[in-house]
Amino acid sequence: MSLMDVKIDHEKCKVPAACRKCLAICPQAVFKLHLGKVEKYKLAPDEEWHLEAWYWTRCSGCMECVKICPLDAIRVKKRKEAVA
Amino acid sequence: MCHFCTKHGDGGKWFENAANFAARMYSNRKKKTEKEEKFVQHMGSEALKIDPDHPEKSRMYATPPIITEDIADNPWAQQKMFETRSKFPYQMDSNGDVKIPKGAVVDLDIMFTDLLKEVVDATGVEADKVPQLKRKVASFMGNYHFGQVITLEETLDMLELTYPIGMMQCICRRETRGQMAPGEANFCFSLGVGIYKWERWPETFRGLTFLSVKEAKEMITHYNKKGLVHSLWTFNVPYIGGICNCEYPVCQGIRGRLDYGVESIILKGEWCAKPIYENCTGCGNCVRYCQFGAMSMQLSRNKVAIDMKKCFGCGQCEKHCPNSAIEMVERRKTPGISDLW
Repeated sequence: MSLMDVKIDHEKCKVPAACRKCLAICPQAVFKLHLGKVEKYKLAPDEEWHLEAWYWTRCSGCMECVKICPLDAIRVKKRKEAVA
Repeated sequence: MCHFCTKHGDGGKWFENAANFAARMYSNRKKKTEKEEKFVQHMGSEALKIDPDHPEKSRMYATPPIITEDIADNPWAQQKMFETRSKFPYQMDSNGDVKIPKGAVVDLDIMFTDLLKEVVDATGVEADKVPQLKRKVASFMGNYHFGQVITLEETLDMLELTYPIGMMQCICRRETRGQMAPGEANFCFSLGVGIYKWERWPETFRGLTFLSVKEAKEMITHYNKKGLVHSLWTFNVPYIGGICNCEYPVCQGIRGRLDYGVESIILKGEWCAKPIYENCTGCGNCVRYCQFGAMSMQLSRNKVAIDMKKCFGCGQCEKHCPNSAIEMVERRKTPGISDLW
C-alpha cells in the first residue's frame, strides 16, 4: 500500500474553521476539524477548531487541497518507506 | 439475530423495544446500573482543553478517584487506566473489552473518533497492532454507542415511538466537510428526553429545533428521496438517542466500517436488497444511490448486480427503482447472510 503524508503547517493556517476550503474539496474527505475546547453556555469560536489530516491513510494524492489552500499551508508527499 | 437484539431486544428487534425509549424506563435502568457502571456525559461544565501541538501539556480532568471498597468486588477496578488522545479515561481488560470508569466525564462521540484515529494511524504502518485496536473500537461502540442502518418504514415507525424529536446539525458533516454555518447540514434527528438538558451547551445543541411527529416524518421522507441512508444510534447502549441521515464518505460510522473494517460501529439493517431480473431494464438509477459499494452493472446482460453480502439493507435502491426490480428480503430469513450484521 502506498501512503501519502499530508502535512498542515499550523503556523500558516491559524484559524482553519474560518476558511474550510480543503475540507470541502477533498474527494476522499481526509481532513477533519476537531474541537480543542468545549465550554458550558458557549458556542465554540472558530479559533477552537483544530484541523488535522485525520484519515490520512485514505489520501489519493490528487493535490487538490494543495492547489486550493490560499495560505499554501498543506504539503502532500508520498511516503518513502515501503509498508505492508 | 445478532447479539444486540438478544441482549436488548426483549424477543424482537432491539430498536422496537419500548424500554429503549421511554424516559421512565431509562431512569429506572439508570438507577439499577448506576452502581456498577456509571459515567457522566460531558456537558461542558468544565472546560475541555486539548492542545494538539503539546499533548503532554493538555489538561483534562483529574483521574477519577479510586474507591477502595469497590476494588475487592469489582474486577474492573483493578484494570489499568488508559487515556484517549483527548484525555478521556477508559479501562481495558486482556480481551480488549473497553469500559468507561465510574465517575469519569466523557463525550462518547469524541471518544469514538479518538479510538478510531488510533486504527487509522496504525493502518498500513503498524499492521500487527491493527486487529487489537479494531477490537478496542468495536468493544467501545458495542458497549456505549453503536448504530444500525434502518429502512424508511422502520424510521417512520420509530418517530411515532419516541418523544421528543429535534433536528440538529450533523456533526460528521460539520467536522469532515466544514458545513458549520447555522442551518447548514441539518441532517440529524435527536430523540429522547436527554436533549432538554443540552440547551445549556450550545456545542451539543447545534441549533436544535423541535419537530412534531408529522414534520419529522416529512423531513425523513424528503431525505429519503434525496438518497440519504437512515441510521439509528444509541447513546449509552441501549438507550436510543438519534436518527442520522448518512452518506459515505462523510459519515464517520460508515467510514469506520467500510474503510477501516471496524464492524459493530454501524450494524447492517434488518433487510437486504435482491434484484428481480425480469423487471430490470438496466437504467442504472439504483447504482447511484448505493452508499456501501454493493451495487454495479452487469453490462453484458444490461442488468443490475447486487452483492448481497455487502448490502446494508438501507432500501435506497428499492425506493429509487422505477420498475420495482429490487425487492427487500429479511436478513434473518436468508441463511447465507443471516449472521452478517
